[in-house]
Amino acid sequence: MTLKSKQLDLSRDVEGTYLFTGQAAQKGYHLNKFCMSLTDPANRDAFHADRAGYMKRFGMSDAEIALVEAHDWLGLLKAGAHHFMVFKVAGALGYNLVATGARMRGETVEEYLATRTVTTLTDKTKDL
Amino acid sequence: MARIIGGLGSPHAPSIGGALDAGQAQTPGWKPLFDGYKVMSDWLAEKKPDVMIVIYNDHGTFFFFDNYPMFAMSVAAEHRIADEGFGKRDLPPLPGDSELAWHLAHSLVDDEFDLTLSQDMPLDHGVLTPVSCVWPHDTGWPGAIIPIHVNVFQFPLPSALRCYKLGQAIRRGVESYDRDLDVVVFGTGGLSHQLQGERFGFNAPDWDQEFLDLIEGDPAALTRLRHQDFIERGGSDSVESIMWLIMRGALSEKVNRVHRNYYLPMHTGFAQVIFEDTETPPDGSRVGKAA
Repeated sequence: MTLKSKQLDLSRDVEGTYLFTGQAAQKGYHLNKFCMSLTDPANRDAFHADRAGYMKRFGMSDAEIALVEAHDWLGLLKAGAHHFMVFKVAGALGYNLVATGARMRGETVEEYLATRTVTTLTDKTKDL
Repeated sequence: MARIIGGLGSPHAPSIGGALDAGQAQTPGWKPLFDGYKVMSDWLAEKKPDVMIVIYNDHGTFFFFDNYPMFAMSVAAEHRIADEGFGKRDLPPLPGDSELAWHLAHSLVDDEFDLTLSQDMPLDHGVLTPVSCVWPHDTGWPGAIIPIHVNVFQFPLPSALRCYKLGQAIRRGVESYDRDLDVVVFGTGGLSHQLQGERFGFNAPDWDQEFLDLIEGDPAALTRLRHQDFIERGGSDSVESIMWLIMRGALSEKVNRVHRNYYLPMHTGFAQVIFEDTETPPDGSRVGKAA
């Protein structure tokens, strides 16, 4: 059954867009819980020490763990992760926002930056 | 009596706070935005509001999907700085105003806005970026904040109209408070942007300019838009601009715009505004206010 909403037209796909509906949130519950746990520095250390073991503690499936290990940010969205949750994992694995976004687009960082107004602001720590 | 003297609008991207902390505000890439923050901080330094009601969303930092509030207001006396996954910003804790917050809680619930009340609400970039860019904070903060979190994260979200009406209810709440306070409402969030999917990086600068015209002169037109419209016109993350409607709903029907700035450097349409309320004395003077 398709959900009815006055605010969303769920029969109409916006290309390249994965809306975080309540049902996606339910599907990705464990995944998102794992991602959010990385807001604690001790958990980040535990994740780095034993990534698969750490993720299993959250009830994640082997397929979900494989998506993280493959840095498959788009796959995580499709599995029900909210993108701001994905950013926490991507950040822990060394991806800033530009790198994460470029990968979702299927582009290199250089290719993505070539489409932007300001291309010189990806400094060491932060980007726009 | 407390009163609303104006509204502010600002993006809340974490990169902006990072640039501020790293001393990059005057670099060529950031200057167009931080020149705008100078106007905003000067305005606040002149008007000296006692309280800022900051409309923002948490970003998977504090609220989780086990219990996800549509609207949540802090009644805390102080707000911790949250770690979002990348370490905490070195900022002093932000003072709240519990007495006004509890008054607002009663007023809003009486007014049929049954929001979640939070006594411990650590803050992420949704609040920290805009507030740190407009208020000095080397030695504490010049005023108190009352943060109100809005669900722009997990559908279903509150409608644009609902947000506007919440702003109107906030105004009634402030104006029914008998302490003598000047209050500013701060709407935060980026305009066009999408930070997910193959459509990552989508922007719509023309629509952003139209949004800025409408939020000032015809906010009712924005309240008629569906989330689907925001998503298609401005990218999926631009739906958070419904939070600006809470700010606008709290203001007089006509506003005096004293600042408007727009800058689209990379992923997000960054916009800033200052709207002065036209139903309060524009010079900020009032009985009992210390010079």
